[in-house]
Parts: sequence; structure tokens; C-alpha cells
Amino acid sequence: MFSKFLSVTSSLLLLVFLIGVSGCGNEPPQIESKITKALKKFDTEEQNTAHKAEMRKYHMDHLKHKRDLTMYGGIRTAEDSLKGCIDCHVPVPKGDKVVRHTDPEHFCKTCHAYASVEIDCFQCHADHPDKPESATANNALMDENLGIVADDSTRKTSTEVTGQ
Amino acid sequence: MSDRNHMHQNVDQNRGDDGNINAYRRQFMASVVGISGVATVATIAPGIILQQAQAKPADEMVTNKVRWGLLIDTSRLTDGGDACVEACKKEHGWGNEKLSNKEQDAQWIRKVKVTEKMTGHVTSLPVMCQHCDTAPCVDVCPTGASMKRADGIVLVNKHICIGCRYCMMACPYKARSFVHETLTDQRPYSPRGRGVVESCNMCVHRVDAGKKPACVEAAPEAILFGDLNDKESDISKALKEFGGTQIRADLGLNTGVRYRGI
Amino acid sequence: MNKRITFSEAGGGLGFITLLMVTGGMIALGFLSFLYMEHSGHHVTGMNNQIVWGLPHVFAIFMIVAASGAANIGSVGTVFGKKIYQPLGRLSVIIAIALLIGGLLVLVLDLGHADRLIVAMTHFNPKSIFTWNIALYSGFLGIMFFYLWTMMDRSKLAKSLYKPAGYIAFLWRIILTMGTGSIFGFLVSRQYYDAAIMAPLFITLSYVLGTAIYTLVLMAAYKWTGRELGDKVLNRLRYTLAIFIAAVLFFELARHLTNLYATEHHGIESYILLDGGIYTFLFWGGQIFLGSLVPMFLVWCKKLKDNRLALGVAAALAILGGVSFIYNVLIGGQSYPLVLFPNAVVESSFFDGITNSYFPSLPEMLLGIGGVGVTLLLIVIGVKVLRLLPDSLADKVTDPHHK
Repeated sequence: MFSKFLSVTSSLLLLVFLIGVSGCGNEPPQIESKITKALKKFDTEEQNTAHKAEMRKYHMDHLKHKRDLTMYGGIRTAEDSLKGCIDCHVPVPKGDKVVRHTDPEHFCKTCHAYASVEIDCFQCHADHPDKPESATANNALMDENLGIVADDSTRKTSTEVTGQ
Repeated sequence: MSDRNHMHQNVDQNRGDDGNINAYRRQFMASVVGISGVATVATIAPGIILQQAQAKPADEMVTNKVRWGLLIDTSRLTDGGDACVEACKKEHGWGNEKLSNKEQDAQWIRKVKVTEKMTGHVTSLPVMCQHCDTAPCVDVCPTGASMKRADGIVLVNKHICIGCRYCMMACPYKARSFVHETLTDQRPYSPRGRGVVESCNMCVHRVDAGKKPACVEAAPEAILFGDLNDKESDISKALKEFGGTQIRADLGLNTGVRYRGI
Repeated sequence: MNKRITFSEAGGGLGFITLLMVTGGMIALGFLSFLYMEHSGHHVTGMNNQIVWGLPHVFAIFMIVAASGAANIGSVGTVFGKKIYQPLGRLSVIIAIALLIGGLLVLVLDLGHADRLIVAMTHFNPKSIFTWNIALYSGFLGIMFFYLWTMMDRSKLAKSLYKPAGYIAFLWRIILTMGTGSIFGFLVSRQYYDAAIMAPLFITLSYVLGTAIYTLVLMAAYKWTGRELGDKVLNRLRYTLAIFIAAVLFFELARHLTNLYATEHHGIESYILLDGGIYTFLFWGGQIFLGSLVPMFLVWCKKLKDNRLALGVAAALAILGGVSFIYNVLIGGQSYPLVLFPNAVVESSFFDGITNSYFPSLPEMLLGIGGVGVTLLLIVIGVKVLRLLPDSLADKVTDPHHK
């Protein structure tokens, strides 16, 4: 009876191992070409490379850290803000053309579909910038207020604003 | 044109806007103060108003030095609060659920008509989260998702809300709603979604940017927004002079939303 | 423990397979309705923003409360040293564990975000009664397994720990049921809940439900396995049941009288007692008449002594009464409008001042039935693989003084 237990367990382990190995042989995908391009550009190529390297590996840490800062501390700098990501990486809706997180061309989806990682950010968060017509005057104003800070110039601009 | 140049342009533009806001605020506050009958309008120097309008720097944590509150004068609400409700819907994007029935629809703020039984006197007032000091919803929440910020704003941290609805059971004001269906096209500043509880958050994103809640802007002649801890703020002065009623004051929750004329 | 008593596994054969299939089917239905609710959102349920807790919570609270009561049978043997109860201990612990797991599953699967269960395990608000209950329920399961081990293991160590385990289990149980009752007791905003008497009321109710369920399971198990079950054991359970029903009635009387004294609560009392429609019917018809008076009559009527059918019916009716009570407190309490402004008529688009109605939907019902299925399946498997049931509970075995 014990040997039966052993044989079942070992064959299960073998199966899991084989499944794992089968995933390893594949070529790294040409994901670069599939990822939707951002709307804004960095000044220099170095900034761009650094941003990509950092965000590809740690975007979730940035987002989660910022998430708690915003929730509990009311810190709303554009740095690491999910809204900031969306504003730059997802196109503004034009007419009926709205890119949603369920669409394959959505920036987040391009990678997450490949990595098979399901995210639930967009159950609550807007997955695209506000439609121009639905943005009220107030919101548009605020978009500009916060939209000015998109990268490491954050601190500088925000102090400029508050210092006045 | 490089991005950075573009940004600086924005900054300049922003300064211009800020100036406009201040001008608008000055005018707006003066009207509120004037109407709400603080006899000493002259003492409300521009300096005080500017101080009040100053935003918290975006990268600074909120503190308990401030406690935000509202004072709603029902006698000045010409529409009983309809404009507030509309402004809130527009700001936060609720009120257009497709699959939920009426009982399941979310309502962050509602107009309540109160008819006193003996006298027949009718009052209408907007009711939303009362931002209690000792909030029952915060006490009962198992995960701490229902929370009170240091500055007194009560809101739901939807990231850790598990959707148990205990806070809805605990709230004496029925201020909270549970989202019964999948939502799309949320407002970027007001995330809301299926399976979590939501409520008025005193437009926390606007407050953090130094602005007033949407309902306050919709009824500037009737609602005062300000710092209850600051004895010099208009809301504190008005409360000191005229008082303000809490709904269900018997529960001792020390609400941040006060009413006049009920 | 009584030396003459031997325990053995029970079941097997066609009856066992049938039970597996029936309970498995219940679980499958429950699971499907969970997937349906999780996929669509709660708009497919009868619950809404006015009645926020519905039928799943009735099921869950019923089973969690009953779990504590089922373990009481074991406690009476261990803590109060009643010899006749000691052979019943093992089954009582398994029923308690099964009920708790079934109830918790229903509760958890009804969450708006059941997928975030890990959040509930990692983020705690120490002031929340729910948080206490998470700790109390997990602790209960651990203690129950430990208690079962001290009952079943023949080692000296286990035997020496039997009494302490019994005491810990007893105390833990009382705190657990108080915790469950307090979920309601501390809700200041709701007219019908705000009463500390909810905690002792729930404890007493748990004894009724636990004893009733235990009696039914025991009778079924002994009948289906063809083992002998004497009247001595059943009579003990019979009178335990009736006494606890009387105790619940006493607490209910106290609760309603307190409410009737305070003007503030006249509205809700007249609603529940007089003109609440289904809730008034559930109170008088379900809880008081069918759930309390009839079972007490069935137990104490001299002519029905030793009548097993009467006992079975009494236990089933006591369960019905318990469900009526929980439904009434939970749904009825919510359907009564919150009082924002006393002495005024209140109207709004959000159903202020209106008595809310609730119609449970099929998925909710099936989810609850799935939880019951889990409980039954666990009991069936437990009885099959563990030595829980004494070979015989005939009078000459259970009673040392029997001739």
C-alpha cells in the first residue's frame, strides 16, 4: 500500500517537472514589438532604457507602495501613480474607439497575457484616460495640474507649484 | 519639442489657472461668508482666505492637525440637494449601473425628504457619509479597509476590502453601497468596482489637490467646507456662532458633516 | 471512559455510496452557484443595498452556531463528568468541525471578493468582531482536532490531556458563540440588534441546534448501520433539547420585554410581533409555535416517552425554529428602516423610511445547500474512516447500573 502511495506521488512529481521543462525550451518571445508604444517620449534614450528596466521588473512594487501612500497619506504625486501610467500608455478614447484592459492591444494586456498574470487593478481603476467630452472643466483642470509631472522632474515641478 | 519644454509650459499655464482658482475662491468664500451671516465680513481678510485655500503639497502626508468637515444649511438649499447629488454622480461616475435593480444601485449621496409627523414641517437635505469621528464602519471592518484618514475623512480602501458588507450593517446613515455588477469606464480619479463597498469620500482627490468637494461647489451658497480643527476657519466660526445639528446625535459619533435647519 | 465500549468505523456499501453521491451533488450545485455569483456579481442575488446580508448568511450563522452546540455533547461528558455522554463525544466533535467548515465556506464564498480571502488572513483590524471571529473559528478547529485526538489515541499522554482539552474546548466554544452573537449585539445603528443579550441568547440557541442536529445524525447513523441505540442515551438528548429550548424562550422573552419597555424600540417590536408580514409569521408560527412549543410538548408529553419518531420530529422542528429565529433576526432586522429622524416621515430615492423586502434567489439557496452538503459529506466520511461510533449504545452498555 505504501509503495502504491509512493508510485502515485513520484509520477505526479515527474508530470509537474515535465510540464515545467516543456515551458523552458521556448525561445524568448518578441514581446518588444508587440507592446503598445507609449504616447509620450523621454528626452534621452538612457532615461527610456532605465525606465523600461525598472518598470518591467518592479512596476508592481512601485504601484503598491504608491497605493498605500495615496490611500493613507493622501500623497498624490504623479510619480508611480497608476493614473500616470495609463495617461501615457493608453490612448485617449476617440469617438467609439476605446482601448480597454480586455483588448489585446491594451498596454498592460500585451505583457500580462503573455505572462499569464491576471490583474484586478481595472476592476476598479479606469483602464483608459477619460473621454474628452466627459471630462468636466474641473477635471480637465486637475488633469493638467497633476499631468505636468510625469517622470523624475516630479519633485522639481511640484515644489515650483507649491512654492509660489 | 521636447517633453520637458512641454511640461514647463504646462507649469506656467498651471500657475495661471491657480490664480484663477484663487480669484474664484475669494469670490466664492466671500459670498458664502456674506450670506451665512457672519457679521464681521471685514475681518475676513484676504490673508485668511488665502491660507484656507492653500493646498497641501502633493508629496506631504495628511495629518490630524486638520479635520475636514461640512456644514450644510438646508434652508439655503433651494433644490433640497438635487444639485449636490448630480454633481456627485458626475464626479464619481455612479448612478448608471446596467444590471443591478433599484435596490442594488449604489447611491453615495441622496436627497432625503423629512416630514415631521406632528407639525407637518417638511425639510429636504442631502445625506451621505457623515465622516464620523468614531465611525462604526471603521470599528467593524475585519481587514481595516474601512478607514478614517488622519484628516478625518472616512473612506474605503478598496484594495483590501473583501466585500463582507459588515460596515453597511453598522452604518446608522445607510451611507454605504455595495457594487453588485462589473463596472467599466470609471472616472480616473474615482476608482470603483464590483464586489467592494463604497461611499462618499468627501472627494478626497479634490481635497488633496486643495479643492472643495463636488457637492460643495454645486451648492456654494448652502454648504461650507473647511477645517473643523482650525478655530479661524469659516466653518468653525459658523458652527461656533450658530451651531450645527448632527443626524442621530444620540449615537455620539461626532460627525464631520453638520446641518443647519433640521 | 467506560471500558466496555468499543468504537469502530461505520458505513460502506451501497448506502455509503448513495450518501456520497447525494452530498457530492449538493456540493456541486453549491459550487456552481458560487462560480455564477462570483462571475456575474451580486446583482444575480436577492441581496441589495438595503438587505445586505441574505440567505447565505442565514445558512452560515446557523451552521456556525450549531457547530458550537454540537460540541457541547462532548463537553457534557468531559467537563461535567457525565459518563453516559462520553461515548458520544467523538461524533459530537466531528459534527462540530463539519458544521463549522460548512458554515464558514458559505460565509466566505458569499464575499464580494472571495478571491481576496488571503487579505482577510493578513490584514487585521483588532477592534472588529469579525477579526475576533476569524481567530476564534480557526482556534476552534485546532482545539477540536486536539480534543478528538485526546479521545481517540490510546497513549497515556493523550489520556492525560483529555480533561484539559475538554475544558479548553468548552471555554473556547462559549467565547466563540458569544462572538457570533456579538456580530449583531454591537450594531448600534440597527433597532433590532443593539442588545447585549444577543450573546447569551446565541449561546443557548447553539445548544438547541447542536443537540437537535446531533440527535438526528446519531439516530440516522445507528439506523443505517444497524447498530443498537438504547433509549437511555436518546432520553438524555431528548431532555437536554427541551430544556435548552425553554432557556431560549426565556432569553427571547427578556429581550422582547426589554425592547417593549423602551419607547425607542416600540416601532421595531410592533413590526416583528404584529405587522411584519412574513417576519411576524416566522416569529409566532416558526420560532415560537413550531420551533419551541411543539418540540417541548413532544418531549415532555408522557405518552410519547421513548417514542423515537416524536424525538426526531421534535429535533427537526427545533432546527426549523432556529432557522426561523436567525432569518427573523437577520433579514427581519434589516428590513425595518433605519431611524434617521425620529417622529418624522422620511422619504428618498434610497428607500429611506421604507420596509424593505427580500426574495432569496436560487443561487443563494444553492450556495447554502452546498454548505450543508459539505457538512454532511464530512460527517459521512468521518464516520467511515474514523472510529467514531460505539459498536453499541444499547442501554446495558451505556448505563453501568443497568441490570
